[in-house]
This record gives sequence, C-alpha cells and structure tokens, in this order.
Amino acid sequence: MQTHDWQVIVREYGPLVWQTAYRLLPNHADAADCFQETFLTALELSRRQQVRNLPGLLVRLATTRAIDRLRQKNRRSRTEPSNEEPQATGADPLDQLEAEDLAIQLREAIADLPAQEAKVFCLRYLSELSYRQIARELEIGISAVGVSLHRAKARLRQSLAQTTVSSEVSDEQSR
Amino acid sequence: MNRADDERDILAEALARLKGQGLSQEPPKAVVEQTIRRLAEAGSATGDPDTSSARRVFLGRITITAPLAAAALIAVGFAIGRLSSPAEPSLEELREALAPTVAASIEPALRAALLEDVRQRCEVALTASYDKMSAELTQQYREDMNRYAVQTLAASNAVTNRLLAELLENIDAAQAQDLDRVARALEEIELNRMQDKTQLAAGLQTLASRTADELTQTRRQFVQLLANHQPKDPGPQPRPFQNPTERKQP
Repeated sequence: MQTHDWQVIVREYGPLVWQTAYRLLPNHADAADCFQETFLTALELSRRQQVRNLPGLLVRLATTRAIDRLRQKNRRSRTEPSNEEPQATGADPLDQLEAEDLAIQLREAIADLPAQEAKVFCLRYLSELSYRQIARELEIGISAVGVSLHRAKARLRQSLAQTTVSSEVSDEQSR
Repeated sequence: MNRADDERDILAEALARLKGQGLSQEPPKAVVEQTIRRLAEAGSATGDPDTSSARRVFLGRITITAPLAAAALIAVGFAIGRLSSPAEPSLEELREALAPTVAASIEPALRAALLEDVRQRCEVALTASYDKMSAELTQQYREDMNRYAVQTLAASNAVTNRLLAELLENIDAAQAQDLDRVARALEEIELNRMQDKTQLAAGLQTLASRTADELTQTRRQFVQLLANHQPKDPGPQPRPFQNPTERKQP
C-alpha cells in the first residue's frame, strides 16, 4: 500500500497528462474529461496495487482514455460534423488548414487501429517511451511491442495514403 | 521518389503536426482544481489506505475498551443526574441562545459553498459556449476560405480568357496585315513585269525594223558599188548577190 499526495501529483504531472490527452483530443472538454478520468483511475489503481512508475502509469492511462474517447468521437463524427478547435498560429492559413487536415486524418487513422496497436504507436511516437517502457506498462513482451508498432505504421501509412488520394480526387472533381 | 517514400513522408509529417499541437498546452487551472477536488472526494469517500488501516487498528482497540468505558460513563452520569437534577431548560430559550452561534458558524460555509457552486456553473457554461463558438468559427473560416478560392479561380479564369481572346484578335489582325502587304507586293511585281515585257517587245520591234532598213540600204549600196566598178572585159560573170539566207538554200 502506498500513500500519495495527489494534489502534488496533479500539479507535477498535470502538464504531461494534459499534453498526452490534448494531442489526441484537441477538443477542450474532451481533454479535460480525459485528464480527470486519468487521475481518478490512477487513484483507484494505487489503492489496489503498488505503483512503481507513476509518470509511466499516468501516460499509459491518459493514452488509453484518449484513444477510447477518440474512437467514440470518430464513430459519432461519421454522422455529425467535426468540432475540433483550430490551433492559432502565425502561419499561412492554407498551410495551417492543410496541417490541421493532416493531423485530423492521423487521429482518425489511429482511432481505426486495433486497441493495442494504437496504444503502442501513441506511447512510442507521441509520448516517446522506449520499447522496454512500453512493454512494462502494457505488460507485453518487447517483441510484441515491435510487431504491434510495425503493423500500426503499415496500417497508418495505408490509411493516410488512401485518404490523401481520395481527397485529391474529390478536389479534382470539385474543380 | 517512389510511393513508399511518399507514404513515409506523409506519416512523418502527420506525426510532426500532431506532436506539435500539444506542446505549448498547459492544463487549465479550473481543470486542475476540479481534478484535485474530485480526487479529494474520492479519497474521502473510500478512504485512504493508510488511514483505513489505522482506523481498523483503532476500531479493534475501541471494541475492547468501549463497553467498559460506556458502563462507567453511564454509572457516573446516572449518579450525577440523581444528585443534581436541574430544572428542564426551555426549548425556546435554547433556540434563542443557540441561533446566533449557529448562524455565525454556518453562514460563511454556506456562502463559500454557494460561491463555489456559482463559479463552477459559470465555468461549465463558459467552456460549453467556448467550444460551440470555436466550432462555429472553424466552420465559418473553412466556408470563407472555400468561397474565396472559388471566387479567385473564377476571376482568374475570366481574366485569362479575356487576355487569350485579345491575343487571338491581335494575331489575326497581324496575319491579315501581312497578307495584305504581301498581296500588294505581288501586284507591284506583276505590274513591273508587264511593263518590262512591253518595253522589251517595243525595243525588239524597233531593233528589227532598224536592222531590216540598214540591211536594205547596205544591199542597195553594194549593188551600186558593183555597178560603178564594172570592168570592160567581162570575165566570168559574177554571181549575183545573194542574201546569206538565200545562199544557204539549195
């Protein structure tokens, strides 16, 4: 059994959890919900078992919650219009729009991945955990991490390429 | 670059865009405070592990000593009550005496709870309106961009078509002018040729007539010369003068 000062933990690891959630959920309300669920789940887990790596646990929980919410949102967004918030930067509006579209396409592709591949991909390339850390957090082997990562990248490449080609075709038709 | 490189670049670029979106984001203070509050509520509702274990030990001791202490307290209380039985206090007096104290102790807490509730409601309402407004602005921004692109394309197409039409007109006019100039040059050449031909024919006729005159005159002078120098002993008769053309004939 462990005792944690959760106020200190939230203030210390809050930015890490928020960044992890906000990358996958650029909607403020969704990211806030994911943020709170992550810490509440971590509290429950810390009561049941000993936590050795709290930041790793928080990143893994935030990634899992964000992917779950992204999947739900993706299913809804096939029938409803998207309401993602634009990122205000000083870049050219057209470049910014293209970058936003690319990020949205990647989020949708991640949401379409199998759960474990999506988690492995996000932990590796968004949270930048090592293979060993990912294996420890997800309780799988390092070779399984490599296989999942390879499959996830292949699926994402295929999905992004299809989306790009279809968008180009629709652009040509609209012209 | 082959197709695999394109796809890899797309994935790398998309990853870079996605990673860049969350870098400068800090959790809002309201979300942090609300999370801490919910954690505190969850902790107090189910109990912290250490406090619950201490509580179990404490409860174990209590179960042993509590009956004894309770019996002693009951006995002492009964004795004191019997010895000093005061008159029953009036309920109204008690209420009046306690009212200011209770009001003073409860009012700040009630006020704070009310303020906190109002603040939370305001935050939720503001967050919802912010999300809605952001979505509307995003949609409007995209529609404006599309409309602007369509208008720009239409205008550029119209200008391009007008410039092409003007270019074709200019090319046609230049070709017509060139053809006209060539036709006039050909007419002038033909006229000069006809004049030269006429002049050449007249000159040739003049030359022929003068040549015929000169030939007749020469023949006459030759005959006269022969007549003037006729010898007395005529030898063999000279052959009469023949035209070179006549001499060639058999």
